Amino acid sequence: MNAPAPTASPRIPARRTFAPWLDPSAKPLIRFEGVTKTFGDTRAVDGLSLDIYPREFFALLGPSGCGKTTLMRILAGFEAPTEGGVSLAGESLIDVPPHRRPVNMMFQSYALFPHLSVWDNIAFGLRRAKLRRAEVKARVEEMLDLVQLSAQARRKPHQLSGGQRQRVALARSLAKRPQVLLLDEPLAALDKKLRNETQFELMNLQERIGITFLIVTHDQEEAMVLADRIAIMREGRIEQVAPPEEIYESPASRYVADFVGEITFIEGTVAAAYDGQVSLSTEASEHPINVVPRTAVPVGASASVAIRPEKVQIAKAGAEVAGERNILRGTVFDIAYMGDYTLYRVKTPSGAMVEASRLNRRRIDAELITWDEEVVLSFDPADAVLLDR
Amino acid sequence: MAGSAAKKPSRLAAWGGRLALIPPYVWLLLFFLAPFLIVLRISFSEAVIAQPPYSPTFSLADGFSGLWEGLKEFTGFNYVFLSEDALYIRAYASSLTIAAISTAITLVAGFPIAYAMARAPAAWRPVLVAMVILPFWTSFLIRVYAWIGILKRDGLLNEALLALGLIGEPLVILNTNAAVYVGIVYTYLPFMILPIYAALERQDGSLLEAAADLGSPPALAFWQITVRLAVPGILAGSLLVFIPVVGEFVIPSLLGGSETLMIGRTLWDEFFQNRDWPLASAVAVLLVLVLVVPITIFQRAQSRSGL
Repeated sequence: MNAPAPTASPRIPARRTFAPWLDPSAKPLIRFEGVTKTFGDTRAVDGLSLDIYPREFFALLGPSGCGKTTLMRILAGFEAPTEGGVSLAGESLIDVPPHRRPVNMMFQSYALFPHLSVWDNIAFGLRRAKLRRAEVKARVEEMLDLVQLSAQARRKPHQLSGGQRQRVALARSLAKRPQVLLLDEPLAALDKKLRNETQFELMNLQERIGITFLIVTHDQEEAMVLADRIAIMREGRIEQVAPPEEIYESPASRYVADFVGEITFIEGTVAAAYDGQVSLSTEASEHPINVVPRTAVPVGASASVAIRPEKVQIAKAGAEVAGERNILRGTVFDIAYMGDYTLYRVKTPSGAMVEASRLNRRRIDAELITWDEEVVLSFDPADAVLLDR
Repeated sequence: MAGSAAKKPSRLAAWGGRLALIPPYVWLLLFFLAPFLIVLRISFSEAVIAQPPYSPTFSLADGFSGLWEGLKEFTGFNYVFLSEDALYIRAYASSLTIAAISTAITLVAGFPIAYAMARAPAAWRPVLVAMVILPFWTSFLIRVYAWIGILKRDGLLNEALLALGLIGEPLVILNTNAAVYVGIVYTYLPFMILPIYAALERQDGSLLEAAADLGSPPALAFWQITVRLAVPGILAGSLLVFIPVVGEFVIPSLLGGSETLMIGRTLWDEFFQNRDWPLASAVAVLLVLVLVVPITIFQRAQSRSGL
């Protein structure tokens, strides 16, 4: 009831060759079934079901307090679900204590043991696994190599930089070759530049070692870059599970559309439906706004048109608008210059704000648009999404 | 220009930093080093019946030759005497043993208390710390006297045990080593609890989870992480108990009996009963030397752990 059927929208061509969630014969590795977790009066996780497939890079995305961390901690074994089941490769995990689960976690705080060297931190789990000394040594060295910290092996955590600590934490959690690696906000403590680099490193690493990764994050960019699929969580439930491009281009709900990326909602009423399009009358424009809906919408229903700023073309008033594009008129209210693109907030005569962005392809803009200027906005009916109010 | 302007405040700050170090050094010089040197000097003197009760004494009027004559009178006799008389060696050994056993008991009793305090809800912790410190609001001497009332033959403890029918006749506890241990453990327990609590309280809970995640069962994780990371607190608490207990005087005097041999009492007897200041000083100097060893070990351990 939370998540729509996991089929790719026909408008979003499948870019991925790896899509086990579309294969009915594929067996999930992790299965949450009707999981509920209450802390006192609050339901941190609320009747949630979710399947995650082998080798998937899966992201739980949501604002703080949405239950994503609790869900991960249930899988690690640090929290027991109040109701429901969790299984790994078909085996229930409910009665398995954390130290016996073939799952390892990289903690948000990294939780490196301050009294142990980098080497001993990475070897910690291997020693518990009763491996032979030579094997422990070989495995630690392999991990040090993987995260490029061989030179720092004898250092203590407090002698390392933030990025190095992050890599030690990653190496430590990977050393036991878990079936699933859990990453709790793994990049939150890094600065932006390092975060971007590390994102790609993580992605390549996951492809190379073929372990299933489950990442918890509140950073949508991180989830978009890293994940094969993203689950958007809200108040203990899942709003949508889909690959990043589907989450972005075909949000299942207003909440998802609003949470991921920038978007403008134009409220209206369905005036007519024809040729797979619906026509809405709105206060924002004297013209009806046409949209291609995913499902049939009855005439007279109130709905929102959701449109991303980069899909809205902005031009000076009086410019020609080609084809059958929707047209909105207004004046520029705010301009946010972001370097690579500029975001314009345009106030329509009804007072509604519509956002449009334009890539700064040239250093000097021949057609500079400035504050309080009259502009015309246009977008293709196929580029907007029709959502319930 | 900009460089020199930027340097000025930092140079000033450096001076400020150095100035801040002066008071503790002056304090140590005045109240530790100077008295210690006086005691050291007396320990090399001879006991005489005079005022002050030792010789040689120096007077500015004697000049340098007088000083030299006096220095020639210095003697190591007191230290030779200490090493030859078994009483003193036994007193040192007994003090160290009592201190070691007391430290072990306070550690075993104090660690669980400190652990429970550190795991208590955050709002309770200041209250619990205050309760540990609360006994200090009453004079130490009065509290030790109170133990006499509890431990004596017709005291509270014996009466309670008799009333419960657990014993047939009163136990002899007061004026035994057992009473000394009770007094010491009671008095010094807070000094063990507080440093361990401080070490446990700042521990990151996710470290235990990480240990569990990497395969350590709860008991092992407790040992590997909770206890291991509390070692600086355990060491600090142990020294805070061990060092003063070695030289403890009040508790063995009030609660101990003739069997209780402790160096603090011996020192008192030499000083006030026998008025042998030089020998008492030698006992004190030797005591300081005995205690320097555990302190040095502690310092090493502290700097090595780097926590």
